This record gives sequence, structure tokens and C-alpha cells, in this order.
Amino acid sequence: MHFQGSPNMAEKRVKLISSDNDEFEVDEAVAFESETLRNMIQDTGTNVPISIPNVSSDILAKVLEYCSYHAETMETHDDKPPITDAQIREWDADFVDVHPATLYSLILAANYLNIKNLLDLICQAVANNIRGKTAVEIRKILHIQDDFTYEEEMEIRRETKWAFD
Amino acid sequence: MAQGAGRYTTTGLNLDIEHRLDEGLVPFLPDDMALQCLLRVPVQSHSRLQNVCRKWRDLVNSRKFYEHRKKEGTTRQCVCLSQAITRDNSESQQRPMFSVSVSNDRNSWERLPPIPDFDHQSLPLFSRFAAVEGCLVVLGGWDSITMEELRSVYIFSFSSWTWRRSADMPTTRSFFSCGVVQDTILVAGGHDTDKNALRTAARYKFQEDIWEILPNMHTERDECASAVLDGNFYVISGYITSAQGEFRRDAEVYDPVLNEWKQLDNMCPADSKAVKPSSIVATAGTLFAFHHNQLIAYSPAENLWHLMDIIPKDSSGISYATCVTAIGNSIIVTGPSNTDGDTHRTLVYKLPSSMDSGNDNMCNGRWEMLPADENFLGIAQVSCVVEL
Repeated sequence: MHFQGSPNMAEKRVKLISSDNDEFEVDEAVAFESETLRNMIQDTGTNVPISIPNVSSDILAKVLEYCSYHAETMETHDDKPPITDAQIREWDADFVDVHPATLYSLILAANYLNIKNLLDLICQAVANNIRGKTAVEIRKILHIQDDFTYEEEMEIRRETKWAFD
Repeated sequence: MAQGAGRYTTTGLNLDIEHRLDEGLVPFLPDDMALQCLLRVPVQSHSRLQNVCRKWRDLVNSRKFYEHRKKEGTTRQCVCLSQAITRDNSESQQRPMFSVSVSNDRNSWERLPPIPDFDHQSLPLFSRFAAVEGCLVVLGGWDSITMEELRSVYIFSFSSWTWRRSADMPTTRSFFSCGVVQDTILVAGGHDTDKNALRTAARYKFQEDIWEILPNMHTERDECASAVLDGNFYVISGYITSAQGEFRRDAEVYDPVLNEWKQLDNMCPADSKAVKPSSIVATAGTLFAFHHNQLIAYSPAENLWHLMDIIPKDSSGISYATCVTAIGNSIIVTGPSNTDGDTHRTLVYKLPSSMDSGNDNMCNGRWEMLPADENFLGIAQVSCVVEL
């Protein structure tokens, strides 16, 4: 439902349609975490469902979970203590503790929906996944083919590393 | 639909079709986003990233990758010291062994591997350091065993974790001034193999790996100090061949755009020995120097130095500066500890946000001693900051 001119932002709801035609309804403040959705809503209003043709429902649900939480952290309640940065970091760390394939889908969705903090969070998670790993381990994690020649491979065996790596 | 509405906009949708397994940096991920991930991998892992595949090797080695990392703020400023390796057994103390100590993000220090060309594994003594594009450049110095004066230049790439030798300096010089303007290293003064003070200067173009001769300075300057301020290379004090050890009060400033030297008279305090070759640094738009246990700042308008602060006299301080460098608003100074002159400690001094250099008002800023375990307490000769 769309309440035109409502003074209370929280009453405005936005409908989103995933690539597999599932419908999601969220507060406008949650949708506004996405710059792309913010622009669309400002152009077309909230009475038309917004279709997101390249994000599937499982990924869209994850993204909206992120947006809801982060929209909530911006709110202040008299009866609840504010959410601390440490709590947010912990929540974020749990959020990205998923299968690498899910991380990829989330990157694409965060990029399309232009949610900068989420994109930064996931890119950092992918980076953390490969830091300190050997080339062989990284290839396995990311399904990358080894395209070095035998001679180059021998050269690489001399691989060195930081002591604290 | 808002096509390409994302933050990184070079790729379209349906990427899983466009990016097959054998293409791109990471299968099923557009290159611009794969790049965003790889930018966030710290430099310590870069030597491994290079071994994953050809595309990653080319990327990690590229200048573009470093520029991207700087832009995204995923680089880190590290202090590099030329430091004596402290050893317990007295036998090896007969010959000096130096190596490069690097501050790491775990609040401690790392040691770089030795330069492979030196069988004795020691860094040349009295060499000069420069930082260019995430690399540490070690210029000249003396072979630690033969005491031969070297023209050699070695570059350490942190991303491949290896040393390489670059073009030699055009002439041999020791105790010279050295500074970096953009990706060019400038050297001037010092002395030749016959202990003649030099007025010659040269520059090293990092990208092209070539040295070029610069116009001569007006004066010979052995053991001169140096700093780069506003893109100009300051060569300060020093002495001429016929007046050994009589440090001059003047300085010369090289303007790379005009390709000429300008003289700056009476720049140094009357007690000109104050200005030791490695005790000057330019940061936050100001020249700073250490004079005994004082931190002084240069005021160009008055051609005077003002007292900024005093190094703590207690166990948290050092008795004088042997080398100085800076990261943004922090001055990093290394020297012999007040409690034990045989151990060198590094202090960080945070400059106050607004500096009133017009008065001799003490700033009373904060001095902080960097933690160091017993392997990183040796004598330090030169320092610089590398953005990794």
C-alpha cells in the first residue's frame, strides 16, 4: 500500500520483484539503502512494484536482510540502547560467513543495487578468503585454471612469503 | 530499467554467460568486481596472488593495480629502517650486519630478505633509502665487509617479495642527499671515492630505469641533509673538501620544473652541526629537524627555526635522532634509547592539528615509542616510509 504524503516514512512500503518472480515488501527506508532503488522510487514512486530482473529471490532476501539491519542501526529508540559499531561489525562478519558462490551473487546484486557498504563488505570478505592462502588453494577456492608453463611453474616454486602471513 | 546503475559500471548483466571459466580474473565474476576484491588483499599475500595465473600475475605487477589500491585506500604506510641485526654471540659482532626492518600491521617489525648479490647477506652500510611506487630503493652505501663504496641501486618489490638490481648511479657517491619527487629519485652531493666533496647531482627515472645528470649545485656538499617540500628538493648544509666537517649554514633547492638550483643563505641555525644528514624531514607542508633532543620547525618567511617540542628525557625517549621520516602528520624518529644507548628505538610524534610556527610556544605533543622485540633494537642508519 502506498500512503501519499504520509508524514511517517516508516509507513511507506516498497514492493520488489525478484528475477524468479517472488514478491518482497519492505519499508522505504530499507529500500533506500540501495542507491539504485532510491533513484527508481524517486522517479516512479512506491505504488508500482519494482522488478529486479537479475537478482534471484534467495539473494534478494539476503540483501534485504542486510538493508533492514543497517536501516535499523540508523534509527534511535528511547527504550533500547543504540547498536554499537562492534555489534555491527559482528553482525556483518556473520552475514558474509557464507559459501563463496553466495558471495559472488551478493557482489553482483550489491553492485547492481549500488549498496556501497555491502559491496565493500563482500569484497573484503572475498579478499579475506584468499589472503594468506597458497596459489594452489586460491585456484581451488575460485575455480581458476593454472595457465603457467612447466618452466614458469618451477620458477614459482621459489615462492616466498611474509613471516607473519 | 536503470542499466549500469551500479557503482562499478563497465559490465552489463547476464555475466555468467559473458564470463566463461577461462576468461577474466575470476570465473563468473566481472573483472571490475574481481578487481575490487583483489585490491583488498594485503601486500603480504601479493607474491602468492601472482602465482595463481597469468592474468593475476600481470594485474598484481601492474602500476595500475598499485594506483587502484592507493585510490581505494587499501594501501598501508610502513616504516623501513636500515638496522643492525643484533646478535647474541660476540663472534659475529666483529662485522656489521645490517638488514631492512619493516613495521607491520601487527604492531611489530619484519625483516626483509637479504640482497642476493651480497654473499655476506648484509645490506650496504650508509646507503640511502627512497620509496617509489610501493617499492623500497636502496642507493649506494658501502659493502659491509670490503668497505668498498658502491654505485649500485637495489629495488625491493613488496608485491613479489624480491630484490632486483637497477641501473647503477652514474658516479660513486657516499653520504649524499636523496629525495623523491613523484617517481623520480634525486641525489646530490656527498663525496667520491677519494673523499672529494661533490657538487654534482643526478636523477633516476624509476619507470624508465635510467639515470640522468642534473646541473651542478653551486657548492660542494659532503654529508648534506635533504628533504622534499612542495616538489622541490632541498639539499641542506654539508661541507666542502677543504673544510672537512665544517658544516655550512646555507642550502640549495632544486626545482625539477625549472631544472635549476637556487641558493638559500643562512638557512641552518648558527650551531649548524644541528642539522645532521638524516635528521631532516618534510611533512604537512613544513620542514622539521631534530637538534639534539629538540624538534624544530622551519619558517621560510623568517628563514628561522622554531622550537616545536622536546623528546622525552625519561625511559620513553631517545637521546638524539639518527634518522627521521614521516607519515602524514606523524614524524617518525629513531635513535639511541635514553636508558640504553646501544639499543635504538623508534618514536612517533603526532603533530598538533594547528601548528603555530610563529612562536616558540612548545606544542607538548604526544610521543609514542613503537614496540620492538629484541631482534629490532639494533643501530638504525636510515629510514623511510613506503606505501604498501
